[in-house]
Amino acid sequence: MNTLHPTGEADTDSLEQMLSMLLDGAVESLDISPDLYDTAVRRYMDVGSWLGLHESPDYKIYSQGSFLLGTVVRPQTPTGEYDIDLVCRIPLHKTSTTQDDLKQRVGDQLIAYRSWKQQQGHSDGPSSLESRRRCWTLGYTGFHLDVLPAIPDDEHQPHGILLTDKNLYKWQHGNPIGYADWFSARSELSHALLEKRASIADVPVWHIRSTLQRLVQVLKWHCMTYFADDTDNRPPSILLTTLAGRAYRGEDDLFTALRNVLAAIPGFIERRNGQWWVANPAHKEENFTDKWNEYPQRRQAFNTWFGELTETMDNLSLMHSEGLDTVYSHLTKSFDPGPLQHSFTRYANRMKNTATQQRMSTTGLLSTTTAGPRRRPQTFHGQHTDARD
Amino acid sequence: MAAVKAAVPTAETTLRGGELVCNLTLQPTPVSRRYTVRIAYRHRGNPRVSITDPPLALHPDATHLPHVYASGDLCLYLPGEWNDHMFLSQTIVPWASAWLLHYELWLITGRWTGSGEEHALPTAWPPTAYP
Repeated sequence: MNTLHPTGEADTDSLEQMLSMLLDGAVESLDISPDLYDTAVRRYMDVGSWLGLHESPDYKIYSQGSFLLGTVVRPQTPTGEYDIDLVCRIPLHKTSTTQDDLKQRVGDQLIAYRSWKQQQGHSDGPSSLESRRRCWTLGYTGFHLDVLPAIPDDEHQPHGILLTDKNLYKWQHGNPIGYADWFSARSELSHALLEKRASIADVPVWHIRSTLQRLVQVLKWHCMTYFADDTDNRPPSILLTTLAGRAYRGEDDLFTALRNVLAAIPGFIERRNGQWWVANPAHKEENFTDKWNEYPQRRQAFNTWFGELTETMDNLSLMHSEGLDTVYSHLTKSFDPGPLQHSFTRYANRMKNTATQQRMSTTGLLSTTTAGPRRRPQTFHGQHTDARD
Repeated sequence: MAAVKAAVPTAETTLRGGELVCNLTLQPTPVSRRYTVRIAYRHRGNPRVSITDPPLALHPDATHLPHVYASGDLCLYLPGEWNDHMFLSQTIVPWASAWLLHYELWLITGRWTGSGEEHALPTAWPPTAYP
């Protein structure tokens, strides 16, 4: 698990801090582990060097989307495999190729790569290779790599790309690197995290999640649970990420940041000439809500989901002295219980193991920051049963 | 008891027939309920701790509370872990708060995550009646 996120040992002396810690622990369990992350990077670097070796060194393979942004959430599918998007950028001009040619060209190289891995008896090759609408999908244990064939977009230098799509006549514009730069700059607004980073210099930066990254993970997780049986109407992750990035104002505390972001989001959904509009920060011509104009029920679905999440968070903010179990029941009405169980259990274990560092305030609050008598270690005695025995 | 007062100023203490009884409110986390806790103590005896409000609940799969004696008193420590040279304020009171924290978590998970899962219950423990 990604135990290195700063809120792992956060203060829990206020309701907001407690809720932040519990939500953080829940999405942490859906995040990709540092080990699997490293494996995924090694696998696609290997694919990238094959493509470079066998074509020209101008071939580039790099990650895009939630893997690059650090906002991955494990899908609630039976396999629960992470979906990692890669761009395979080939230095061709759009007048010298077609979408079909480009797709096939990348596909041929990937087929050759897989065969070569098998012939060599290497165990690090992909276990499957499939052609999809916009990409080639390489299967590995625990994740799959979606390879999107792309060429440079001469009109949007240096990072703009044009992507293939079997169902669309026109090339699709994209700028995943530009988008990641924007998102990363928004993430850096939280100062507590920057200080924490400075104090743990030997930890790779990408293993520490910023408040904004965690916030996006909470939104995606809630959305995934809410739209589990209605995936057609599920708002795309890029829309949630963009709205969150726009609305975020650098709050360190996850729960406070979430409530403020939810309050501000409606102000970032624009009307332009009668059209709903949320622009891609890295490609102003792209509208992430263009589907709302075509299918009004999608905007309705977004609003209903957004209303429910806001209400859940509003109610949580009133739950002083209601009981941890009441907070848990409230959360499980709207979030998937598995990650919540994980988070509450992890908190419970931490409260057991850190007993010697805890002090008790005049209200009985047990924490590591409060002043008061130190709690000596103890062993609970008496009739001890597990409710599940 | 002065030390308990110092640790929890709202604690109310009475002394009757050689038994000290202390009522105080504890809230182990900002999200937790506020519990009224009663501590009864006789010199050279063992402190008895019970929750007087709100009534304690059970996890849906449980038939009784964990780490509670048949009398309803909380079981907070092993024989030998507490002795009458210790301050209640530094042991029994924070231990009761920790018990309440793990009780609320037990209502969620059904597992006791405080320490003390592995020990057997000695027959002579606890003293249910005082001399």
